[in-house]
Amino acid sequence: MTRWPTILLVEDNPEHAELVRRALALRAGAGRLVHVEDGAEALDYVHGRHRFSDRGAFPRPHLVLLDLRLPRVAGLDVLREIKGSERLRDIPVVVLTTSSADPDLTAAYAAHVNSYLVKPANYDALDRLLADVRDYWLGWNRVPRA
Amino acid sequence: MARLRSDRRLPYIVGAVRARADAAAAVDIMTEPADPFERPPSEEILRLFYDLPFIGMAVTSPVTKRWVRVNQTLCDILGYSREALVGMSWAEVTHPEDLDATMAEFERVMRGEIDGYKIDKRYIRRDGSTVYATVDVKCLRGPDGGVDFFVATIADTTEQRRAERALVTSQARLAEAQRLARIGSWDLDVGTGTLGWSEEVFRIFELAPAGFTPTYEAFLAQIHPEDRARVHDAFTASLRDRQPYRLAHRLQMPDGRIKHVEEQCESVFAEDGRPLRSIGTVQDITDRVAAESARERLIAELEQRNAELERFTYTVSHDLRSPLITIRGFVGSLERDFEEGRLDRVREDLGRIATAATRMEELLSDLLELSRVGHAAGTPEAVPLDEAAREAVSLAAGALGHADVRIAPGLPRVQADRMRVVELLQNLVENAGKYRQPGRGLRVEIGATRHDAVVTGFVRDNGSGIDPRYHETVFGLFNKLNAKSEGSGVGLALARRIVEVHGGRLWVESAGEGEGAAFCFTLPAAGGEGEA
Repeated sequence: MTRWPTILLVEDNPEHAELVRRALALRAGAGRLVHVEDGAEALDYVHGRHRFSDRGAFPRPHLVLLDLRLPRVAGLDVLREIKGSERLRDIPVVVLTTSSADPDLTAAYAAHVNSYLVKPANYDALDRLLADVRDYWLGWNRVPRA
Repeated sequence: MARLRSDRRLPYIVGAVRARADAAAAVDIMTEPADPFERPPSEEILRLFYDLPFIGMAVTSPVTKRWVRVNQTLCDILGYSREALVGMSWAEVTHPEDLDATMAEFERVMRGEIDGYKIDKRYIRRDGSTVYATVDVKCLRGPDGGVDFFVATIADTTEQRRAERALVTSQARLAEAQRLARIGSWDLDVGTGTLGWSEEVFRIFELAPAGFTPTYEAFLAQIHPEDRARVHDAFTASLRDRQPYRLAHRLQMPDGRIKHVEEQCESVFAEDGRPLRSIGTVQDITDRVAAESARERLIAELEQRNAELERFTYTVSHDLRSPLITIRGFVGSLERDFEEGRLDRVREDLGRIATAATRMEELLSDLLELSRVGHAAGTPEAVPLDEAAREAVSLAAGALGHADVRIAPGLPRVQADRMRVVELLQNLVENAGKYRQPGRGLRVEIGATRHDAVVTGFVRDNGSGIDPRYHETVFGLFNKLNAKSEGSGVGLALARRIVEVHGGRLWVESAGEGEGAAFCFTLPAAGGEGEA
């Protein structure tokens, strides 16, 4: 694990992105949050292409926080592409969405999502949830060396 | 019969019976026996002859028309005793309506034109009931040619007529039942190829029975060309496998109409397996098929509506939750700010809360609008598209800014709800205003052409364009091409709904990003003068 873990947040709603950023409360040196607003950008980022081709500035993410309803490429399609790629599938993808609809849950697990979380409306709950996500996926969880 | 059979003079009796249609011939047999030893006394023969229980016999007088001699069978037929009948004239017991015809024949004999006649007539029995009979009359003439007497046989045909009438009635009933049920029947002699069709088959096939000989080939010719082989195979297989079959197929009428029929067939086979005869029914099920397909269409439509509603509910619940999370999130964050004394963020967070509340309000009013549009359109009227376009552009002035908007002159008129047409164009124009290509002045063109009953309109811009991959997703409820763009993502969904409610289509044409886009729609043309 590198010293500077990177979280890729895929979220079209800027306010929600801000709430997630605050809740993650990443201190300098504890990691960095990269925010993209749609599915097509998310794929560009994980593939390290187009404007994200500089891996020094845009390192491979250690965790993807993925919303499902996104402009252009939908969240489930981003998930399917990551999990269908030999090179990318060990990146943990956690769905973070407002949807608790069964079809979404089923489809996400069918596409090998690592975890599925529903955004709580309550701020304290959101705060606690994201702190746990950070500690678990960046602290406890182990992935193969890239 | 048993009594007669024991009689050794039987051959003569049989000879007499064979000749009974011609009483005179019977007399000849009696008068000219071949073998004198076996010559029977003529009186006895006559008596036996008279007493045969099969047919009524009589001798009548040409002068008085009275029954001179009658046998028991005739007495039974007419319901009189022999004593009562002898002495009455045949005219007295003849049905009044048949008297003239009988008299005419009688007179012809008397005039010497003919020696006998045969007539179907009615008698009135003693009890007043009517009896039908076939009467065969011969006369015996004297040397001067005058009629000495008449000999008549009278066969009771009442039962036979009743049976015939019953048969006719039952055939009529069968034909009526076939007509009502639209089931015709057919009958094929496999050996000779002779095919019989009931009236209803002719009616179903719309052929005139007169002058038309049904054949298997004529039957095949009626069948829809695409079904012909299937029907022929089914029939052939049923003869081969000795199994009945049932199948539905189409008929092709000469005027292009299609009828649907259901055939059932069974065959009878000889002991060696040879097919002898096939019988079958053909039922017109056109109405049933039409009803079934209407039902299926309705079910498919309902299923589609249901799926749409499900998607809608899902989308709405998701998108309405979104601003709620923002509001509650920043309210929670505000509390934290106060606790931690971070007053610098308070103004910013209050702003976010207010924005989210406004957005929620917009969403709700857009949804309300969408649900209103989803119902049937208002009263359709002839709406000139250029007028509607000018109105839409003035309503969308805010979104358009200083754009260069061109409306082609003399656009065709559409038959639609005027308010909705304006709303449709307004949404398309506003959409153009939202997706400008940076560094390029926005230009919007509105035009339309008419082909027959359909007007195809378009709103074309030189804006940011749409990647062909997203040409369908842009119409999804709350879908936005760009997270930062204004609006709730309802506009194009609303526009599509308006067009669909009017029975048209809405789609987008764009070569890709930066290439501009044309939103095209079809609406029913207004009647009246043809327009370019």
